[in-house]
Amino acid sequence: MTAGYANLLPYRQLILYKAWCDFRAEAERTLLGPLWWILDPLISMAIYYLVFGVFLKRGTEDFVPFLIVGILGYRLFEGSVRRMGNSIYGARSLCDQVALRKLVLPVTSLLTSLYEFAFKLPLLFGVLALWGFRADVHYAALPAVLAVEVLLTCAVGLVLAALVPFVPDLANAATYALRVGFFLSGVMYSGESLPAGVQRWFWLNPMSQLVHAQRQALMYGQWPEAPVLVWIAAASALGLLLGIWLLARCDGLYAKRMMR
Amino acid sequence: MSDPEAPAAPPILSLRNVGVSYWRRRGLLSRRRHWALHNVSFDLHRGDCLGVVGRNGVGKSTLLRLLAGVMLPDKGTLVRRANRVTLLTLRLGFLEYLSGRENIVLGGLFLGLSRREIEARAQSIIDFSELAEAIDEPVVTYSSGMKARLGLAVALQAEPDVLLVDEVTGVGDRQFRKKSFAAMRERIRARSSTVVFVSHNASHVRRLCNRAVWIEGGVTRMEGEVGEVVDAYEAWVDESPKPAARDVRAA
Repeated sequence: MTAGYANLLPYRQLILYKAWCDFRAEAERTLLGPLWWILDPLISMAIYYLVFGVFLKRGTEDFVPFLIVGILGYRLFEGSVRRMGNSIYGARSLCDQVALRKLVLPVTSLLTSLYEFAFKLPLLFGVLALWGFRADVHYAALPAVLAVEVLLTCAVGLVLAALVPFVPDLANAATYALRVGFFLSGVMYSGESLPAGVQRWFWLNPMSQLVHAQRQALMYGQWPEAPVLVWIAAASALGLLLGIWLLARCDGLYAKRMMR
Repeated sequence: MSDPEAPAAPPILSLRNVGVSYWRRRGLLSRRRHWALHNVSFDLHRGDCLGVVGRNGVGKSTLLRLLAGVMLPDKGTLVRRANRVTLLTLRLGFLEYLSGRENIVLGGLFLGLSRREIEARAQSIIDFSELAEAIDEPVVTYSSGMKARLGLAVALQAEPDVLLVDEVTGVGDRQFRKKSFAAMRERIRARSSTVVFVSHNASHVRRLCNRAVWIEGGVTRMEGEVGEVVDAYEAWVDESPKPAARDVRAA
């Protein structure tokens, strides 16, 4: 049942077009439009630079690119999970009008987030170039690291999307968890600077590993640790299957459940 | 409207003893099951316009959602031999900041059309909606009547196998209602559309439909030729206490 349910080929035109429309609609909402996708990480970076780099003197070497890599890497996960988690519950009125495979909605949300991330890539590579980081062979690891991050995002996002219509409070809980996750994933500090006892726990967080892996590929001239990525990918694949299974089982229940 | 000479084709939609229930929360931990439809049975044949009559709150809207595939029955069987069963809605997943033209594509994709099919129908949708140049303006600048016309035009021009119409929510303003009714009637006459039309206004059902089903308390009271069913329904309403009579005479 799950394999047939996960086959979204008949919906490919809808997914691609809807994701592009959501992306454009978000850009049209404000006066500065897509500029906000660049301004938002830049403003966050400036704030963390001031607080951690200048006031608290906890900055690392090349703190600006360090922050940008961390912020963009984590925001991809955070933004996508939040969008995916709310994708079915937020489309209550649509689900009440048309028979639609619900898996389409979180997948569309993920694609919208990926469009947004692609829009931010010039900022990432621009800052790295400005700080003198030149592309080398280790850049080749970035797509693999991002692929693992997308897999992890799918796992968390799909399970959340499947459960939020039953317990809408989960969306609020997820927002807080993602905010805490931001501070626990080494976005504005290096995991290696933590006391040894704390580090053990720090590296158990997959997002800490993925943010670090992105810095290894883009800034440190190192290859990310393959076994770590494989473990995260394997666990995420299990989560992804759980998410699809939950959605397949509950697909016919959502319209009724979300009626007011 | 079914041709008595033609070999009997299987119904496009068939319901047998179908029931739909909701769980209603009564407190933090307790909930109660409420049956919106108890025991509904009828057949819908290709080319038919089936009117569904009944008072407010007897489960007519739930029935449309069930036929549209939005909900599944909790008991009984529902056999669907149609590819696209579309609920006529005023605005299907419209994105306000995009143009009417882009929303036509989006609405069409939600209704199961391909990009190519939508592009082939785009001009007739624009013509039918009477939006003219406004079609390239963002939907956020439209009046509610314009949005309704666009939504209805997409759903009508999508030419589904079965069109489901709820008179209360799906007909827009008075002027456009006439046009939509005319378009539906034309299709029904040409037998190019199969329609389920839900209304508590018996005269509308009589004008538009050839067959009818009367639902009362979530149960099929009667199914058959429109005149017979509507006559029986009206006679029953006239004999009923006042609230029921008010429902049917409304509008």
